[in-house]
Amino acid sequence: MRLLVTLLLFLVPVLGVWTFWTAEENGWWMPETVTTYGPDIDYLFYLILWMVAFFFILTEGLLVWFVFKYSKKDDTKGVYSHGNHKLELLWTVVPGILLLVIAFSQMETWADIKYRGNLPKTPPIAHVWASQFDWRVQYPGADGEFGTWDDVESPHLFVVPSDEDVVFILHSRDVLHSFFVPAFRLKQDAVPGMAIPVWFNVDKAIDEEGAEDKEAIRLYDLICTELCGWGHYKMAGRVEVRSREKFDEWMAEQEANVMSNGKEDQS
Amino acid sequence: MRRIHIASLFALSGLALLSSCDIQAQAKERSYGLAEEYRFDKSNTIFLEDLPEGTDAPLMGALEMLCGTPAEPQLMLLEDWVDEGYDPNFPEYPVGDMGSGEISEDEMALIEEDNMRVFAVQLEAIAEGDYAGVVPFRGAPVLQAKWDDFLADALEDEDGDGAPDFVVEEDDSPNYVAVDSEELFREEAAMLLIGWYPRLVDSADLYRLECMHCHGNEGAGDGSTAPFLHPAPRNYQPGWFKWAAVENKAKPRRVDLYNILSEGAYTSAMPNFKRFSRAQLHGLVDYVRLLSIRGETERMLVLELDGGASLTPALISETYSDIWEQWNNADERVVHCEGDVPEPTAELLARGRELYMDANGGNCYSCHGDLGLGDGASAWEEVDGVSQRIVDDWGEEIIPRNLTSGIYRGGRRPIDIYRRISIGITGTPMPAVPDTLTEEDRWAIVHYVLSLSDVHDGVGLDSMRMRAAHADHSDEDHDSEGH
Repeated sequence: MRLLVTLLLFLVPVLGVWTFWTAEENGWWMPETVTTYGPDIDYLFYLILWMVAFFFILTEGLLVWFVFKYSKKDDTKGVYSHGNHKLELLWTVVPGILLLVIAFSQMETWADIKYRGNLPKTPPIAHVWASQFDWRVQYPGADGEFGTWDDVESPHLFVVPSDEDVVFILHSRDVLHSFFVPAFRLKQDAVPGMAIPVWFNVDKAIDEEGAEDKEAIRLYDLICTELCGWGHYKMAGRVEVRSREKFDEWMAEQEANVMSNGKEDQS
Repeated sequence: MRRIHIASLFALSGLALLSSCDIQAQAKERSYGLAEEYRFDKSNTIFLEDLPEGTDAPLMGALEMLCGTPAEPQLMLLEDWVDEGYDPNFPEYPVGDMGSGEISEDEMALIEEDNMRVFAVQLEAIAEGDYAGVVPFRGAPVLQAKWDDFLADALEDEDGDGAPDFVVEEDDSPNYVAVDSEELFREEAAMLLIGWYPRLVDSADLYRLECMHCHGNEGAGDGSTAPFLHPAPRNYQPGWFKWAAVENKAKPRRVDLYNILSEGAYTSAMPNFKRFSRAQLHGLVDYVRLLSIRGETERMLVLELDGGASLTPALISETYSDIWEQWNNADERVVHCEGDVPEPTAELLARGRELYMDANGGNCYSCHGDLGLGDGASAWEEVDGVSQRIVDDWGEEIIPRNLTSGIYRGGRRPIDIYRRISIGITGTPMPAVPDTLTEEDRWAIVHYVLSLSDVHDGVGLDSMRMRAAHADHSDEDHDSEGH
C-alpha cells in the first residue's frame, strides 16, 4: 500500500515532465513566432520554464521520497522540529535571487513591447473593438481619419501588412477581453473605457512547413484569453498578414465597397 | 472501502457526461414539429389547439412532403420546375441540369479556393497517401459518407496480391468517376473535397451544432438559449428578415442572408460566422431558406384552416409555390440608388439635421431623440396607465438605436444606412421615410446620422489624442531602432 501510494504520487512529476517533453510533436506547443519581439519573449519563456522545470523535478522528487520514507510506521513517535534556520535562509535567498534575475532580464523586453514611450512612431492602422463575442476592426477608410463616415469595418478579420511596425488601438465595448495572437507572442487585455495602443511587426513569413514565403497570405489565430461570458469559447478571430502591396489592394477593395451604391453588392 | 465508492461515483458521472455528449445521434431521430402559437399581428394570434380537431397530423404530413425532416431535409419540386430542369436542392448546378444556378461560376471558384484552405489537413494526408490520417469532416455527413465509400472501394483487394487495388467502378458509386490507379484515386479524392458544396443534410447537421440552440429546430427562434437573449433570435417562420436590402417585408436575397451570417448582427447574440467556409455559409443560407419556407407555409395553411378551409393538395401546393415565387423574385425588390455616394458637405449635414427633426420629413428624432441617443418620446407608449417600450411584430420590446454609439447592426456602409432609412426595418416600428424624400434628401439624413457617432464613440477623440502623443514624441530624440 505504501509503495502503491508512492508510485501514484510519482506519476505526477513523471506525467508533468512527459507532457512538456512530447508537447511539440503532439502539436500542443506554441506555433513558431513570426514577430520581431517573438524571440525575446521565447527567451524569457524558456528561461523561466527551465528554472521551474529544475525546481519542479527537485521538489516533486523530494516529496515522493519523503512520502515513501516517512509514511506511518507502527510504534514510532513523531519528532517535533522547530525548523532549521540555515535551510530557511537558503530557500528564501535562492528563490529571491532567481526572482531578481527574472525581474531584471524581462525589463527591457517588457519596456520595448508595452511602454507607450517606445511605441513605434507610425499612425495607428486600426482600432480593434472587442465585444461579447466578436472582434471587429475599424480602419480609417479613404480619408485616413478614424470615426468618419467612410470608415471600413472588418468583422473577425484583422488584415495587416508585413515587415513594418503596425500600431493599433485596442478597445472593449463591454467587459474585459484579452487580445492574444499566439504566433505573435502578443497578449493585451482590452479594458472597457480605455484606448490601449498595441504594436507588432511581423517580419517572418513562415508557413506550416517552416518555409518562408513573403508573398503568401498568412492567417494566424486571434483568440480572447479573458473569460468574458458564456460565448467566450467562440470569441475567435484571425489576423491576416499580407505584403504591403497586397494589403493596399485589399484596402482599396474595402474602400470601394464602402462607397457602393448598392447596385452590385458583394456576396 | 470509501475510496472505492468515491471512485465509482467519479466513473459513473464520467459515463453520464459521455453519454450526454452524443447529441447528434439523438437529434437525427427528431422531426420537425408544429408551432403552438401563430402571431400574425398585434390583434391576430391563432393557437394550434384552437384548430379543428384532427388537422395537425395532415398538416405535419403535408409539411414533411414539402420540406422533408431534419434528418432528410429536401425541398419538393413543383411541376413546372421538373420541366425546366430547375431544382433548388442543388444551387450549384445550372438551371436545365436539375439545379437552381444560384451559385455562379465565379462564386464556385471562390468556394473551391476556400475549401482548399478548410480541408488543407485532409488534402495533405491524401497527397501523402496517409488515408487513415484524413480526419473526419465536421458538420458534413454526406461528404463523410462519400469519402468513406470511396476509400473503402479503393482499398479493396480483389486480386489478392496483398495491396489495395485502387479500382472504383463509376456506376458503383455515384459522383466520382472510375479510377484504376492510386494516382487517379488521389486526384478524384482531392476533387471530392475541393469541389464540395454542402447538401441540405450537411447544412442541417451544422445548423444543429451552431444555430439551433438559439433559432430552434424549426427556425422559430425558440431554441434553448432564446429566452435569455435580447434581442430575441430571429423567427424565420413569418419569412421576415430585418437586415436585408429589399423592400419592407419582402423576401431577402441569398446575399442578404449570406451577409448576416458572415458579418453577424453587431452587439447582439448573433455572432459573425466568418470562421466557417464559404461553402458552409452558402449551405446554411440554403437551410435557413428551407426552414423559412416551411414555416411560412405552415403559417399560411394554419390561417386558411382557421378560416374554415380544408387541407387539399391544391391548397398546399398553391401556398408553397406562392411563397417560392416571392423568394425567387427577391432581386426585383432590391433597394439601391442610381448615383454615387455624395461627400458630406456642411450644407448636406445641415439639410440632414433639418430632415431628422422634421416630423413630415425623416421624423427620426421622435424615437432616436434630438441628440440621437435613442431616447425619443415615441419609443414609449402608455398601456393601462403604465409607460412601456413599444413592441415589434414578434411581440418584443424595441429599443431605438443610440446613433452616437457607432454600432449599426445591418452594416455601417453609407448604402446600408441609406437602405435602413429607405426601407425601415422589417417587422419593427422603424418605418421607411416618406416617398416624397429625394435620393439627395436621404443621403443628407445618412450623413447626418453617421456624423452623430463621429466624436461620441471615442474613436475620434482617441485618434486625436494619439496624434498629439506622436507630435510630442517626435520632438524628443528617441532611439527608434530599439524595437
